[in-house]
This record gives sequence, structure tokens and C-alpha cells, in this order.
Amino acid sequence: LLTRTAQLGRANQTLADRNDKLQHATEAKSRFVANLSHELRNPLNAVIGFAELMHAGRSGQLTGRQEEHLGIIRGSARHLLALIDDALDLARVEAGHVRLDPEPVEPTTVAAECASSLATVCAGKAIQVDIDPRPVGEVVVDAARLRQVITNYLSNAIKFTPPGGRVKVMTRHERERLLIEVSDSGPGIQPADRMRIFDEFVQLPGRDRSGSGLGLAVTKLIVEAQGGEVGVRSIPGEGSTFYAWLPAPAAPVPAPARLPKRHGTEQISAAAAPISAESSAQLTARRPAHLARHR
Amino acid sequence: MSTPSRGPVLVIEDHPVSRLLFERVLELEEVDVIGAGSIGEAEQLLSLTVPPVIVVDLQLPDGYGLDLVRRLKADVRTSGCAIIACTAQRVPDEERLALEAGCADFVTKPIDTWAFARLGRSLIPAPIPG
Repeated sequence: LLTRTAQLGRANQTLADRNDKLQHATEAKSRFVANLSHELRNPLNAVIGFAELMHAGRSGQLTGRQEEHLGIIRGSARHLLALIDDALDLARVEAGHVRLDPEPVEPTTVAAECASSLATVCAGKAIQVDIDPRPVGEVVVDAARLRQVITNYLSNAIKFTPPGGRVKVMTRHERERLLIEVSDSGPGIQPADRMRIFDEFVQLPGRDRSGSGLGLAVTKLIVEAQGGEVGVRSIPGEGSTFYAWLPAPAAPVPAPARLPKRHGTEQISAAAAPISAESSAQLTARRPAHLARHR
Repeated sequence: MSTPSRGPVLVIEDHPVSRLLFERVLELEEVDVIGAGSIGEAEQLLSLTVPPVIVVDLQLPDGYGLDLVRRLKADVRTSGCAIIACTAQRVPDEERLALEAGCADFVTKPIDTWAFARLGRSLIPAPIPG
């Protein structure tokens, strides 16, 4: 028995040492990605900035072809920036550097804000975004991370839905958990691809590859870091529904004082983004939050 | 090209291409720019002239930009300068720290070109008539 106990003790020590090494390696990777992100942002600042100056004709008159090429440089640089931001986020979450600030929020209002922030993209493809207008009540959850999850799912749905299609956002609260569902009328996902769609850099063949390939991986990690889970249901040829369950206790007292402050109404015009009548009331509730705020 | 006529704005930025971009963008708003590549160089310039606006990158080769901001805000000669903090790093809470140190604004790279130009100009007090 003593020999067995000693063996188990050594095995435990070996496991603890390996765990330590892995944790250090993950932290080193996170630091590397953070430094790389900083080093890449300086040259990108120049690429985007000077391309914008030239594209706006501030460095002399341009031919149509030059203007087109500068637009491509600017767009590609912004794509690279999104990739860097997602990679940094991924490394931070993997290293356990996610600070959560739970606060009382109304998920339906957050969903409406996220849809508003993507209104221009929707308008470009004539995609209608419907927000289920039934308020679920205030729940306690990290608002910035909730916005990130909804925005990532929404961007994904809008990207893969053909022009003229529909995207629907539904939120529900049950047993201290919040459910977010984003459904689209896109091409759907084959059963074999449903498991790997949340992996890093997985982009399905024959689809738009303009994204970083990290959005769903970041979403999965953010949700799992909070003890939640993600998944997708899909019927090929009809569309997909991406969902996330997040632990979210109901807010203790829904006091009127905590209701969102109205900064005047801001409604997305039908031309800018076709929003169904049932959801337009939600979209007028609050000015879209500043989504570019990072932690 | 218009003749630069307002300012100057002191841009403290060690990355030469980013410094040139700030200069060119501020020129659009007819703002004159002087540049420094380090805290040491900036302090030399500031001993000669006190600009109305200072843009300071937070990661400088000879120190942390916010330490310089705190020194400038504690000095009666420079405490009235409007300071824009600028960073390429996404460090949690840095915006709050910058505003607490007395910065008028906080921008991250890549900058929003047109918004930065307007911000630079808006912080320069209007010239006194006559």
C-alpha cells in the first residue's frame, strides 16, 4: 500500500508539473500575441491612414483604377486588423485573462443595439433582421461579452445569408440561464461540419472567406469561460440557428431608475436596414452602444 | 495645399511613419505640427515652447507616456495643454487611467483619420481677434 501511495504521489507531482508548464506556455503565447498585436498595429496605422488620405483625394487626383486599388488596400488592412483583434482575444481567453463584469442588462435591448450597429451591412445585402420583441427582463451578465457574442453570431448570419434573406434573433431566460439564438436563411451546415465550425480558422468551402475565421472560436471560448455552452442546429439548404446558453441570474430588483436612459430616439430607416415592425420598437429604445470598446 | 496656420500641436511618437501620418492628418485641418520621438526630446522642446495640444504615444522608448502626462499636468507651465493619449496596445483600463491622469481624450491605433483631424483642431483654442 505504501509503495502504491508513493507511486500515486509521484504521478500526481508529474501531472502538477506538466500542468504548470502548460499554463506557463499558454501565458507565454498570450504575451507573444499581445506584443505582436501591438507591433502590427503601428504599421497598420500607417497603411490604413495613408490609404484613406489618398483614397479621399488628399494627395492629388486619382484615376478610377487607383481609387479602386486604394479601396482594396484599405479594406484588406481593416480585415487584417480584425484578424489581429480576434487572435488577441482568443489568446487572452485561452490564457484565462478574461475579466467579467456582470451587471443587470435587458438582453432584448442589447440584441437590438447589436443589430443597429450592423445596419449598414444589412442594408448592403437587403437582409431583414428581426429581433424577437418579447422582453426577457433584466438579467445579470457581462454586457460587453454578451454584445460580443450576439454581434459575432449576427455578423456570421448576415455574411452567409444571401441578399434578400432573413435573420432572426431570439433571447429567452430560464432557470438562471440566458439563451441567445441567431437564425439565418443561409445555405445551412452539413452535419459533419457542425462540430468543427467552432474551431479556429475553419471556413467552409465555397463560402465567403472575408472573415478572420476566428469569430466563432472566440465566441465559443467567451461563452465557455463563463460556464456556458454554444452550438448550432441546421437544415442544409434552409438555414442555421447558432445558440449560446449563458449563466445569468435574474437581476434582483428591476427598479425603474435602472431603465436605460433615453437619448432621443434613433430609428433605422427602412432603406438603411429593413427591420420588421415588431422589432422596430426595440430599436428605438437606446442609442447603439460603442462596440469598439475593448477590455 | 492650405498653409498651416494654427497650433502648434506637439506629436510625441517614436514610430516615424505614424508621426508623419499624424502630421499629414493635422495639416488637413491647417494645424501646424512639431514632432518628438521620445520623452527626452519632448521635454527639450517643451522647455522652449508650450503648445496648446500634445499628442502622446503611451509606449515610448525612454518611458511610459502617462508618467509624462502626469508630470506635465503637475507643472503650471504645461498644465493647461490639452493632451491626447494614443496607443497601439489594447490594455484593459488604460483609457480610464489616461483620463484620470488628465488627458482630454484617448485614441487607439489605427486612428480614425477624420475624427482625429477634427479632434486635434477642436482642442486648439480659437485665436484672439485683433
